[in-house]
Amino acid sequence: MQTFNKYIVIIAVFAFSNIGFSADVQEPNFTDFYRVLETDSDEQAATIGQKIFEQIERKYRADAGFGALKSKMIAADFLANQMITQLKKATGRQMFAVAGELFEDKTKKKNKDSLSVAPAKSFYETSLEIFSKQVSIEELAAEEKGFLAKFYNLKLRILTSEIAKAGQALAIAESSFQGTYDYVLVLPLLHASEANPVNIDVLPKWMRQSSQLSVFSHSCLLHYGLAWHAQSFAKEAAAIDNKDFSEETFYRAASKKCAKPLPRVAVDCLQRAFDIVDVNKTDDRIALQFDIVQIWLDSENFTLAAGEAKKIVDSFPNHKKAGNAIWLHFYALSRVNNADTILANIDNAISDPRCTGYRAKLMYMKWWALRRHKDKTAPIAALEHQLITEYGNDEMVAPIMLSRATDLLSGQDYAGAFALLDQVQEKFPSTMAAKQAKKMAEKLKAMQGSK
Amino acid sequence: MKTKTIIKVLSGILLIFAGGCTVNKIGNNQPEKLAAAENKPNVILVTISSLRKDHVSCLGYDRKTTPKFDEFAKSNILFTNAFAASSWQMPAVGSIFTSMYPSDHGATHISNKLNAKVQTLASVLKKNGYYTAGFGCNPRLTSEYGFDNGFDFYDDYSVSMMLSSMSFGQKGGIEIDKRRTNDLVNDAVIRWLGNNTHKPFFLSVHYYDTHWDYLPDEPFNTLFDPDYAGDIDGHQYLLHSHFTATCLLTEMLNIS
Repeated sequence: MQTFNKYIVIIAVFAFSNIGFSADVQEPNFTDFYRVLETDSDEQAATIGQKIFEQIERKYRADAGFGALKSKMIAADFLANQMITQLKKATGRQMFAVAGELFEDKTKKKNKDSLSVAPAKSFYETSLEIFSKQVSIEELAAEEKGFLAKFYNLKLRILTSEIAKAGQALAIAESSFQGTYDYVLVLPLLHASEANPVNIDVLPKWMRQSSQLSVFSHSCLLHYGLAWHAQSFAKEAAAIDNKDFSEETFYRAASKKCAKPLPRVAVDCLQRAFDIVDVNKTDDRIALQFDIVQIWLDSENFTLAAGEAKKIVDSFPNHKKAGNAIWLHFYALSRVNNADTILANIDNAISDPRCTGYRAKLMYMKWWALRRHKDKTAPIAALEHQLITEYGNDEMVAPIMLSRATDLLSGQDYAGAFALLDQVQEKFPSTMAAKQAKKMAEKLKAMQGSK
Repeated sequence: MKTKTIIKVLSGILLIFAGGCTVNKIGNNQPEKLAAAENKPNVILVTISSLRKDHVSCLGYDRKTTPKFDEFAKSNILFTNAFAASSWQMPAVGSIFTSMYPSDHGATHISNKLNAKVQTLASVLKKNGYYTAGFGCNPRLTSEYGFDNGFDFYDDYSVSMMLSSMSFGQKGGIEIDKRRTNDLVNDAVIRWLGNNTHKPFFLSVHYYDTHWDYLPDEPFNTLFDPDYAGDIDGHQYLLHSHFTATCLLTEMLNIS
């Protein structure tokens, strides 16, 4: 008898469920969802939203766009869980290590593992392709469309909140971990582009203050290297505080922040500032381009520096700083040992009136480039003579004079070598060449004395 | 032209080759010494910092890191059973220069110089009528550390002076470790050889690019592993370019 009763109950529940289905297919009710979303927790809103979502799903089950939307939701969920698992595991390891330290034999050598968590950027980069595809469900009613957008954002917000909690737990367990904000940004950034800034709605509510948005801006810039999104967060933060915001000022400041660790991002920032500056403000624009050259030089991207310097000359050939740009172009080429290109073009630069202020340096550069070729003895000698004659009082010629003294020594012209070594010491006493000339002269005198 | 070359490889530290060629004329007026000198070959000693035997193709490395050197080794004598006297440049090169253990020649630490009283390869050759010249930029093998002992001319300054001059007041300084310097060493050596009238000569050349920080030049930085993104073990890429540069020197010797 007992078995029979159970059977009846199961059938009754099944029948009830079927009734429920037929009612849902008819018309979803959005009012409750929006009300709970405003007044209650995200989790409560998600429970109601999920039911509505399932109703809409039944309606558009065959629609490819809806399928893509659902795939994105599953992917977001999967990605978030991966990140949370990683953070929780790291937290567990840290807790275990701390517990181990408390109870370990103090006489034993400590062997604490260093914190090992993948950079948030790696999660972002590996998922970009999945999330970059646009979803379009053409037949959706406006109300359904509005709901799906809200519901999707809600789902993302719940996931980012969970990620934030896992990140905070790790930060408590291991104070050196500072990547919580980077992790929180993964999903929002995957759903943003330069046409659509990060939707603040998908961030945990407590993270929507200006101070927090500034941290997100910092993370976008220095962790993700995304200058535009960094600017967008900073702008949002300024708006919350009712402060003025200038994109150009932001990009200039941002380039300074990341010039050393991320030169390419710094250049991206300067390029964006350049694009914003009024085209009539030539000096400002050129100054920005020189800043770009300097970043490439400082980061030892010399080929890029040479290219940017050339761009200045090509864009502003008659500007008063064109000569400086020409010089920097050759200087950058020299740093990559590109003697052939230098030699092919430097004579024009030496005779170019725009380069008058850099003539000595350019000639020295030519001297250096000629020395890369073992068959250029005669032109080298001629250029050395010219440099010593024309710029004989410039410290720059000290190494050239020392080189000539060395030539004379190897050719056994000791009198000539002595004279030059004396000249180097007299004329340029504070140079490295003079110090070396002194040593060489002393050695020569000692050798002569011993003969 | 007769060319006699000895190649030695010291495991873990250095790769050395010494070469000589016949002499056309010498700068000594005494007839008997002139005759003796005419029969003496020039001697060239090339030492290379941080070059491992097991990364040289002709010594068994499976990658073709040293095509020029392999070619050179084929037509000369290759010694494969050689050992470094120490694990790093100062004591190891000190031993090559003096034929002594580091504890005897003294260059065992950056605060210890090569003992000025010991005989060096250069000083022995000098006593035997050789003009002795040394080139390099290894900051541990400078005259300050006594490595110019026995050399008539020791150029440990050209590379740093050149690098310093070439910065033209730009930032960057002259950290030898962070610059490629083989070309600059070759530049000084080739210029010296071009002007030299001393015969016979002993020429010591030391290369430093294989030393940390490994800075392989293009296209050698991507020759074997284009996707490599680590921050160490770049030196195997460099050997190809290194010996291309070294080949300039050997070429110079062959035509001198």
